[in-house]
Amino acid sequence: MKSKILIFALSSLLFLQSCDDQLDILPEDGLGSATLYQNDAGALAGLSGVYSRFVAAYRESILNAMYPSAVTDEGFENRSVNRFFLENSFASNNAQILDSWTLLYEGVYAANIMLAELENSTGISETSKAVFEAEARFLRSYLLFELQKNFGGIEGIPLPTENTLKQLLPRTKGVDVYAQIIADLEYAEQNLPRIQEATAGRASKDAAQALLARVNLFRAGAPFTNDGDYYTKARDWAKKVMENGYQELNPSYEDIFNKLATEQYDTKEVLFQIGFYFGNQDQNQSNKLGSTIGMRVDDGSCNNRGYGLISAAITLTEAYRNDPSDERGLWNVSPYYVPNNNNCEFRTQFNQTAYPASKYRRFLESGGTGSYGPHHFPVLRYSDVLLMYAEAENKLNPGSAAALDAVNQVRNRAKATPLVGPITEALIQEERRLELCFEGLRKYDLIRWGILEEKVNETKAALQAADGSENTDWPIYGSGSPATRTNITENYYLDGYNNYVDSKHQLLPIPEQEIGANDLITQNPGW
Amino acid sequence: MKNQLTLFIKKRKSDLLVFLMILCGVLCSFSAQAQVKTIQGVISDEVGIPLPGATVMETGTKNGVTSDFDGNYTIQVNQGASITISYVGYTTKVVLIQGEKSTYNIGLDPDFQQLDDVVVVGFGTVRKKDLTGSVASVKMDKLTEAPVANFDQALAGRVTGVQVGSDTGEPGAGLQITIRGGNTINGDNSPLYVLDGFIIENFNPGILNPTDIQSIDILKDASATAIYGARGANGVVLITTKQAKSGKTRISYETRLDVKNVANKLEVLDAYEFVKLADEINPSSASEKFFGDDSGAVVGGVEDYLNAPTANWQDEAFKTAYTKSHTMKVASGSEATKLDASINLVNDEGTLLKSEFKKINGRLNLRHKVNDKLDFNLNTIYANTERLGLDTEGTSSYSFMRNLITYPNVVNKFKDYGDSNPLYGINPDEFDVNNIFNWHPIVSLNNEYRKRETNQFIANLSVKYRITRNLDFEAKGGYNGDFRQTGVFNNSNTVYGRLINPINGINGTMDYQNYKTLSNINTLTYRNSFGKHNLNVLVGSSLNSRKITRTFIRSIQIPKYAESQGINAMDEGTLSSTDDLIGSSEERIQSLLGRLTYAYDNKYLLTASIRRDGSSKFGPGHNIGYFPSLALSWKAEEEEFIKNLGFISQLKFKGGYGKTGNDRIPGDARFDLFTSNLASYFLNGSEVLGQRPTSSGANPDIEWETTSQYNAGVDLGLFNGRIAITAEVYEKTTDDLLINADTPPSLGISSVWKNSGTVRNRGLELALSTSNVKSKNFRWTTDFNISFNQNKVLSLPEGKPIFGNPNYYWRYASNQYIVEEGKPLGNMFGYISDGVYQPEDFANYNEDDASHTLIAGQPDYDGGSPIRQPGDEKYKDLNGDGKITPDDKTIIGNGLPKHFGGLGNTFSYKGLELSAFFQWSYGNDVMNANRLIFEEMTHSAQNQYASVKNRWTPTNQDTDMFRALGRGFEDVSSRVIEDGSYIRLKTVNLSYAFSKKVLDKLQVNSLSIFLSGQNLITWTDYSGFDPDVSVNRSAIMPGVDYSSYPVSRTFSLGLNITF
Repeated sequence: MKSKILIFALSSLLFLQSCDDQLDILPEDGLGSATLYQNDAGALAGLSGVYSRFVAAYRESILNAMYPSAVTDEGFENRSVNRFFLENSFASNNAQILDSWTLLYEGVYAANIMLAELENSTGISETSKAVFEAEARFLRSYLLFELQKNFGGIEGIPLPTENTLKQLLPRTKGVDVYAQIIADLEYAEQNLPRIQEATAGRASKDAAQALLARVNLFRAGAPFTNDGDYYTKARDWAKKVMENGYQELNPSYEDIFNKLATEQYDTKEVLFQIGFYFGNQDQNQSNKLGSTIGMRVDDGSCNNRGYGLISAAITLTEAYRNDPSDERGLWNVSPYYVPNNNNCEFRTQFNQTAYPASKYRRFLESGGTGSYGPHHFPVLRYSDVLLMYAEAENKLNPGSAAALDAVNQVRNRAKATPLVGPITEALIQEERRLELCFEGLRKYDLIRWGILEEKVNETKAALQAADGSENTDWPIYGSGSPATRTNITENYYLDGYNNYVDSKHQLLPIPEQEIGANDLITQNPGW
Repeated sequence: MKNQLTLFIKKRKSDLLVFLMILCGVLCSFSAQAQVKTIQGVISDEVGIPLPGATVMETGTKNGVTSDFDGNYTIQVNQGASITISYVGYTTKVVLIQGEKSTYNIGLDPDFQQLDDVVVVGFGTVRKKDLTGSVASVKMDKLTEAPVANFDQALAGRVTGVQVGSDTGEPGAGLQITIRGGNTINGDNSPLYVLDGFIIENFNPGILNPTDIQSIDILKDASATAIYGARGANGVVLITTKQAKSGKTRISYETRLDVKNVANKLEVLDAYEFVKLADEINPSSASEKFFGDDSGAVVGGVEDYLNAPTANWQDEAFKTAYTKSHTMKVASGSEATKLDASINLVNDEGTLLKSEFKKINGRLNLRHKVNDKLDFNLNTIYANTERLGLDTEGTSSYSFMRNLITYPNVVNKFKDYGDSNPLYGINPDEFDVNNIFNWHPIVSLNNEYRKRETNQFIANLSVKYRITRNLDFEAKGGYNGDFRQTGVFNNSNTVYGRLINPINGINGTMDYQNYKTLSNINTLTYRNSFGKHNLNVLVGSSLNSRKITRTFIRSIQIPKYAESQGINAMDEGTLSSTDDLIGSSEERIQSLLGRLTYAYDNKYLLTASIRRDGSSKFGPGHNIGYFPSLALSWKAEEEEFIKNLGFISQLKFKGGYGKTGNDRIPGDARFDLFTSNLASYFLNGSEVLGQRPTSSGANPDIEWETTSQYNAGVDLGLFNGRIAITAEVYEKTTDDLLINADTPPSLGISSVWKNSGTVRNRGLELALSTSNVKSKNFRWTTDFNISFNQNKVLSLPEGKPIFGNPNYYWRYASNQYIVEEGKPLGNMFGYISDGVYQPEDFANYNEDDASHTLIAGQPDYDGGSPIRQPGDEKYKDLNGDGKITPDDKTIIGNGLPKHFGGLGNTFSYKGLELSAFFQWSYGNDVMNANRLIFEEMTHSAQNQYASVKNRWTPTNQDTDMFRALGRGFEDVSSRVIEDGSYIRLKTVNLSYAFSKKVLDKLQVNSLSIFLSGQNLITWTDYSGFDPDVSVNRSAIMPGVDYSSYPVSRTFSLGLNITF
């Protein structure tokens, strides 16, 4: 009997512990979405998470800065190794293209999660929700715009929204992508605060208006048709910014870039910028803008090196030198650099065909390491708004005096000789190059104007013609007797231009990894 | 009814016994009028479980009986005689019969000399000849002959079906053990380790002293592993430490001294050849570096470096290393209380400067018998291990071995460096310090600090209660505290801590990981027999909870004045905030298990088991799994017709089937989470901390992958066991593979865990042991084993191939492995090398003019830029489109062996014993990625393998080595795929045990000395350090060699003494 009780007792002990409900252990480390979006502070953290994807995507300064300049009439990459992406010699398995695609879509996903969770949130007021939603949609539209410009074309890109989380998506026609981008931005424009009321660095009503102007211009241009009067919309949005009464041009062109180098906000001139920093000595939050596309500084002891990887096209240099009063010339394409062992002093460069783009100047940065610094990247400037206005207005009223006036506002600030008119499309296109070069716009502008191939060939011919000619800057800026003043056009300056195939290189390929994992998607032509 | 039956059997048996005894007594009474006495009792094992079938003999006579199923015996012996009790697997005991006492209950102790006969299976032991599943027991005496710090280093080639591979030869580094081929594609294929009955996750072999291990039994087929259910699919390694036994106190001491060196070094260009190559690659840079004087004027040329002194970095980086090992053991025991304790100290130097492995471990086993019904058993282990020395493999952009091979071995002979030797400094004038890929190898060794320390404490207590004669209850509780810390410090002389063009300045990290596991196992065992029926039933439950906490600290920008403090200077720097600093998680597994073992007539055996597992890694509705198994066996040797043949001592057929699982995925795979890592943003002058979705998406429906395995085998023993052969075949199919599948990046997440795909492994294993000579003084035995495994991927998610990128070096970051349906795992993927382009491949070739075109039929590279030159690397254009594109990549090798095995011979003459053990692997390819980078010839400041001397030049056209700057794609080609087959004289051991005469004189119990060697000779065609290599190992990417730590050759001298 005793042993029977024992058996019973032991058997129950044996099975006692098997309660399956103890198995559902929730993660202790890492927040779930339901907990994050329960108050404004959590929503702000989520928003910061969306913004962080810009930092990740633009950290190498390739997609936003180098690529839109490379192999255009603005510049080329002056480097003999590892430059496949920037010399039109790459395939759909290129790792940097995959990175850009992935990080931009991570941003879209983060914005979509934010939109979905805001919808479900009970802890955030409706007013606050509307503002957060507006900012999430602003960021999503900008991310989608980046993707569409680079990868989309007529066929467009996969277009995830808060309602299609984790669904495999086919390409959405380019025109429909723009419809979504415009809808997002129009909502943002309605609900975001004015720029003077917004936290510096965050999206604003004014930034949404300016971005709407840009997006509408892209929708109006190649490869699309202006089937919805997008020039009128672009002009009206640009005009709205001009009439806001807050934005104005910084009287000093160089001060705009000095402020970006020193992490300052000049919200009157710059409507939206991507913030990088070097807090906690952390290079993951900083970028390569100053080292890749800025003034060349060989000596690392002179407050950071500048590698000057993007060189200005000779045609750009010549355009500036033809109007010596234009302050933008010496700022954007400097004849000077800092060599090694020269007490951090400037010296004139010999080779005029390969002057590094000098728009961004690392030696102004506070902190920085290796190739990385805290340089902010300008996304939308007021002079761009003026030129967009001019462009759209001139499309609608060719030779418009208002368009000429807007262009001359930009030129006057730079102390360039004013244009006398009549204004033409070509003059506005050239003014965009002079004013906005190396700001991540040129290649896309040339594509929407349908003149990329023309400019590629023109620049290549100019480069070849300049070979062996003298450096016209030397008599003005040089000192002493140079060993040689001849330009040395290395073969590889031309590689990117030689490799250019118009039917292929207007778009980047959809990355191999996307094609491999997504049965619904098709590759861009030529890749 | 049952009781009546038992009683009947008992009664009948005792009737017979009485009859025999009477008969015997009558007979005896004629011969001698000795006083005969009847004694009886129960024979039991060390914990009181009755032993049926034990032999009880009157010592020195032929008078004997065997115990019945309940261990009862009755025997008539002469007063004053003694009885000898013996049982397979237990020490024979002699008991003197005297006085009036007539009941002798005798407990036997396990005999660990006879371990071969008993096999540990999950939750119990069985006699080897009663085994139904596939279980391989490691011969511990052979294993411990090898001079190694950790037991796994001696396991290769010892057991069929068990493949042991090294990632790297670093001292103390764990090895990769794969049982019967890799099942799972993504995850970890290492087996489950069970130490003294408890599952140990992240098992660290360094916690054990090899000579403290009683037995290692490897469960291979599913009928054996199914009792481990959801975690048994990769096989199970059961390790039992030495258990205390009764006997007088013994103290023993073991010591060993090993001497090691690197078996071979790699030949690089000498100073002259290096300068010559640099000049070919970049004349202006070479001229600046080597031919200019202090004023910068060019004063020399390549020929000035003929016979220039050459620094040999490998000679300086590798040294002769010593390992010292000391072990002290104490064993003592009375009938009631027994203990076995040991302490072991190993100091294992690596052959690479500053690399070292140290361990200290202590162990105590304490057993106490309260009464006939109740026993306690306590096992405790404490171990501290330390590994020092830099990672030779490094990261994908920097590796030590790259510096060792490519660092310039000569400096400019035209410059005056005064008293300093610039070859030993980090000299910004000579070498580009901004280029982290060229850091001084010896400076690195002397300055990079890496220390991995583990502290582990394991305590297991078991209580066994014998409820009735047939029923036992055992409750076991276990604690396993595993604390690991890794410290890294990069001072200003290291590549990551440099202050010229710095990354993070001087910096350090400390990573603390604490794993705390609590386990409880309760089992009830019932055993009984009815006539020819023999039954053993086990039911049980277990609970396992594992808590993991992690703390990570990174300090950067540490001031230079503080760096002399080493890692202690971390608090002088700035704490970095971008890392995940603190984390914790918990995993829980709850299980119910049952097993039935049934034997009929000791001829037909059946084992059936089932386990129900619940795991917290899977979500509700998916977290319960059932894992059944069934095995049958026929001991034909028990049949009369076999017995009549005479020469067959064992002939057993067995077959089984079972299902097991694999749950090795992260515990949070079913949750969508946010991370703060790199999620902050800079707004208006300050950082706003952020949260972003992690890049791995949740799969709430994730389940375990399951492996179904069939196993069939035969054990054959001939001529009284002189020849023993075991042959087994198996087929296992793994379904619902756990795959960390890449998702389309457009989803915004990069991967998600999925159940998809099927992999099959089929194999044949043969083991043969022979006793070739067995005379009084001389014995010769041979052990041979060979294993074949064929692997095939039956299906994949959506039928698409999966690619692998071993990521050893960022520029060579293409897909280099491919998994395809219908093909095996381990396929290497790349271009087929076609030598080099020759002048005749061009239409208008002119040596002085680079403008020429390839003739029709000669493939060009995609894009064609730059223009091809004679001497450029050439590939086969497989699709014939005239271009070399990624579409021309194909399968160029496979990293899995066709077969592997071992052959050991042991000769003994009196106290002298010599054994030699060979181990091999055949048919596996190695991707010698070193050759991609050390035969690259693209950087003028980097030295290369001596093989580039044979590069193409206009005067040396008959070669396959491309010209300087003529390298093709930054991708793998068949040029660097080499046959990794090898056969190795792995272990040789010569030992001498002193005879009793000497021992008596010295007053010691035993004394032996030995001389042994490890990795003595390797026969291979492989050109690298060692063919047994696989960095970044995974099931789909075996056999990559890049910057691995070379395996060393060891000689050892040792002594064992017992008092």
